[in-house]
Amino acid sequence: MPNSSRRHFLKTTAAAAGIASAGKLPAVEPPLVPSNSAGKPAPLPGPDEPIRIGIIGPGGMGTAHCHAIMGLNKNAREKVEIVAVADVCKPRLDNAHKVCSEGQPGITVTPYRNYKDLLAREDIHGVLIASPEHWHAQHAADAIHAGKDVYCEKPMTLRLEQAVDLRKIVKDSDRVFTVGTQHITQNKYHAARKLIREGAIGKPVSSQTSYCRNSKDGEWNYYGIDPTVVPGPNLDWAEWCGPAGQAPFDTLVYHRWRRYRHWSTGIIGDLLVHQMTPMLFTLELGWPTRVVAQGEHMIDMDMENHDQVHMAIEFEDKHHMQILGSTCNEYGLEKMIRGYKGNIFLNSGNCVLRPERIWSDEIEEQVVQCEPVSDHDEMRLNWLNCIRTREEPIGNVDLATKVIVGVDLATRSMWGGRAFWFDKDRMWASPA
Amino acid sequence: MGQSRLIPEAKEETPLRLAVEAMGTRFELVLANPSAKGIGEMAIERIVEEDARLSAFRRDSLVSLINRQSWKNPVTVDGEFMDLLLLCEKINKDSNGAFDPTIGHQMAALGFRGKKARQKAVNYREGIEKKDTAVNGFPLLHLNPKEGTVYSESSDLKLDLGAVGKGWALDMAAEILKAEGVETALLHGGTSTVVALGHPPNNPSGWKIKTRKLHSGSNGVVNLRDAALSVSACDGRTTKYGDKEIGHVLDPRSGKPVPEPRAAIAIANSAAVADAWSTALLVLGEPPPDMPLHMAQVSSQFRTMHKP
Repeated sequence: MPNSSRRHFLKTTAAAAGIASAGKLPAVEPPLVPSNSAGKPAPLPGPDEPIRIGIIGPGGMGTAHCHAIMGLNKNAREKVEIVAVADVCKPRLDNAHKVCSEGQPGITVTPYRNYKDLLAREDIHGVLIASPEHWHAQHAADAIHAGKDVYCEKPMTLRLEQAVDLRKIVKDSDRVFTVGTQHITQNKYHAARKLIREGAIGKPVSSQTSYCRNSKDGEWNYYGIDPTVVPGPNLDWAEWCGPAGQAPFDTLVYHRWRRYRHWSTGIIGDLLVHQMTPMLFTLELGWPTRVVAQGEHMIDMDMENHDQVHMAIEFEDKHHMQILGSTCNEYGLEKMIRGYKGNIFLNSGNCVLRPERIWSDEIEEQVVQCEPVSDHDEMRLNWLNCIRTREEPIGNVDLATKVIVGVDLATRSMWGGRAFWFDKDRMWASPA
Repeated sequence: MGQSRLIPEAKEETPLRLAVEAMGTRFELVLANPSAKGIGEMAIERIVEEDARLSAFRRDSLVSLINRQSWKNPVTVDGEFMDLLLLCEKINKDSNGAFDPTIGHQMAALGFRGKKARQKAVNYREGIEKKDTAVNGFPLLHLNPKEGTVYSESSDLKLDLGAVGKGWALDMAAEILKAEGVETALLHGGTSTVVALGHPPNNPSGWKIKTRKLHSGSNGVVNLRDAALSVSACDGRTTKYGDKEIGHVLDPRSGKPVPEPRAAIAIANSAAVADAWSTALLVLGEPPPDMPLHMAQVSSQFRTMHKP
């Protein structure tokens, strides 16, 4: 089915699901088309040459990446230099420029208000995208088109259509692309994956995971409001809205966009992808086939997105996964995988295997001791290493797209009140 | 978009507090910049992971694995855990055995691990006394950093990292904060071991930590900046031993409780070092004259205090 009719179909299904009656119809995304024609791949860095990277969207998380990447270089874990930063917000851009300049004496760090100017640089090997969710797809597509390798913050995209398009763009390119869901570098998930491959728990039938936290003042309200950041010299608001469509300026949306439905999928996209991704990685699952989710405003009535969610995913491999998310209670589910012959427990830093009672004669209980890792650094190092080796990073685009299928269908289900199917051959969703 | 929404007035940011129960106590993290909540949660998660690795009470911990198996075969450990054991070995040596994380059997003998464990441990200690062997157990634990293995000479030797684990977990958490660019934060475990990163905006001298008064004239307040502090005292957990109530800090050299009243404070660049030394100083009663002070790692501010 050509793109236009697929999108028409999605629009129809969204309306049929009752989303329109909820007051707002989520944007049906236009096809993701790279908008940047400048830039070309930098020659591969030599063994002793530093990898030169740019940071797009150095806000809270982006600036943390700046510090950490400079730390990798300082501690001789990788030769890497941040040579450019780009942000539509001047105070944030100035701060990132200062942090990176002071932290890298002798290296020129260039600030850009428009990310396309950063992508046009032909000496940059890779870009790290830490912009808000609604920009991820376009930033990533443009970066790939400009010949850059990409580390994209999670979630990979805001909507399913963007993920499908971006996956194709990545696969059609020779660029190294990863999504920063760092928990997949934790050794316990690798140990569990090995045990499952070896048949230690038999057929994995179901799994569960969660990400739950609590907050007195409402989740994400701890992001302070900077009263100087208003449209004008300090903020290019039209550019910030960008692919999500223009909207009147709202400082709460700008500073706390995760709370708003048009700009973010809230708990699911921001928090649960951290837990879903390592589970999909561990179980080596195929595509989701059906998703159903509940969402509710339990405590935080001011937040558009839900503060309590519960989702269930069925996979083509005949596996069921349930995921709990909350920003009003901190007790999550035990992270575990249930198999016909045994169960794997992943709540601690270790991987614990316990047999089902009927198989206890054949299967020994075992604890695989796992060395803790600084997973965020491991994730960055994996990407940087792949820039040199051209291997596929651990957070690859297929894994990330499967996660977005879960995120997007769960979001539709929560707002629309019914389950959604995913057709992997046509890469589209439909109401069940 | 809701233009009519009430927009909060710009005000000085309130620090964000995150807390978690681990290692039998409450860990707390104060972030001067609340926007760093996500990074703070990564740090908190690391404390929980260290609890799972270091706990002598959890069957699936690395410490329990060593206690169960290291007397049969050398147990392979990861590099980070080996670093912790090497640190323990050094402080054990420098404190002349006053700090000894292999006192699990002695704690058990005094009844801190239940009745069954107590009898087993009493038998063990009597055996040692008969053999006229030193009670200090750490030398019986053989570390092989090259092979990454730990081997114990005795099946009864029980590793218990209670006196250093909190500090180690705090160090690991602080490393995450620092790596991600958090420059101002305070972490503590059970209020007895604390790590200060940077200083709060209103006090360039550091975070004001209220401690016990070390001596007359002291106001009991320490300004801590990019350093760690640990306090040890005898008046915490107790158990009945015979007809006496005894404290939970033992002198590993004698196997007997440290006499009350006594408290010690150690300040160091690392919380693990401060934690271990505060225990060692409590046991010793005063700094050993030949103690090498861990060179740059421990400042000269450690001392014991006697309650008035």
